[in-house]
Amino acid sequence: MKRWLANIHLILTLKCEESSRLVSAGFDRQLSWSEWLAMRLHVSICRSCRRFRRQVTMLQQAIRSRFESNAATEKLSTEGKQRILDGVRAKLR
Amino acid sequence: MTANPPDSDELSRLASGWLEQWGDALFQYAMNAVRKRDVAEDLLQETLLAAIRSHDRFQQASSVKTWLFSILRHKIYDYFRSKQRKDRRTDSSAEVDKLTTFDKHGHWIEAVGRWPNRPEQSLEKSEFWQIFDRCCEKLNESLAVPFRLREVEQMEFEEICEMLQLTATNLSVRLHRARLGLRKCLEENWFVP
Repeated sequence: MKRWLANIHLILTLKCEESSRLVSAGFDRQLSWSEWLAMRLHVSICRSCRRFRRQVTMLQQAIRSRFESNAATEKLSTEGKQRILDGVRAKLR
Repeated sequence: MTANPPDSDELSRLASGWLEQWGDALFQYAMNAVRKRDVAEDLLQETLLAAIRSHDRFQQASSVKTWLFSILRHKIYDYFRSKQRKDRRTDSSAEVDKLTTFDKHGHWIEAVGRWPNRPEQSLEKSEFWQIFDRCCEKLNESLAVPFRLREVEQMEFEEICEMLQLTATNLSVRLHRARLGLRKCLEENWFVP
């Protein structure tokens, strides 16, 4: 019962700080039903939180596609190889 | 009767052979994680050293390539862990981020601005990514490292907790602050002139 009341309390009183925390957590784990509902209700009436959610989602997609399509392709330079081998040799002695 | 241990010339030839064969692939792997040439080179060097030192214990159960990659992955984890430790000692700006984003009632101090309708068009532009990289650099390492591992490396949340020795709550707080900080920085420097 106590827990149920806590869930209702969360849904009814969610502030932007908490809402943005839940938006962020939603990217990393499954939210509980009360967290999800509280966040969705808050976001539906709060423009800043709605924007925050949309922008962070967009950024996440952009970052992923950037690093998938733009994975590092730099090759090891000849000097770089030499530096690495020199270091290895020095430390082996 | 045992064979003589290989001398250092022989060992460096071994390292040189590995470097010739898989150097570029290992380097790119390290670059994707750390994005800094000198750091990636150092990690590669440490990987080769560790491989040489333990190669007599190495069983041919997995390929040399797989084995080298697994050493490199551990070196990358060590690198991020030590970065975290340094940062924890020197800075507490994570706390500041929190204080400047929301007021004492938990409301945004500055409203979240509107971004262009089709921001993905901006995302094509290389200047955007320059600003993005600068904003990432401005983030405290204690926020930037978990963020990078999560969003760029796409590591599992639990895996990051384990690697950085953070509780789930602590990691969650850091990722939240990183997202808040990055969003704000991008808005100030890119989306809103």
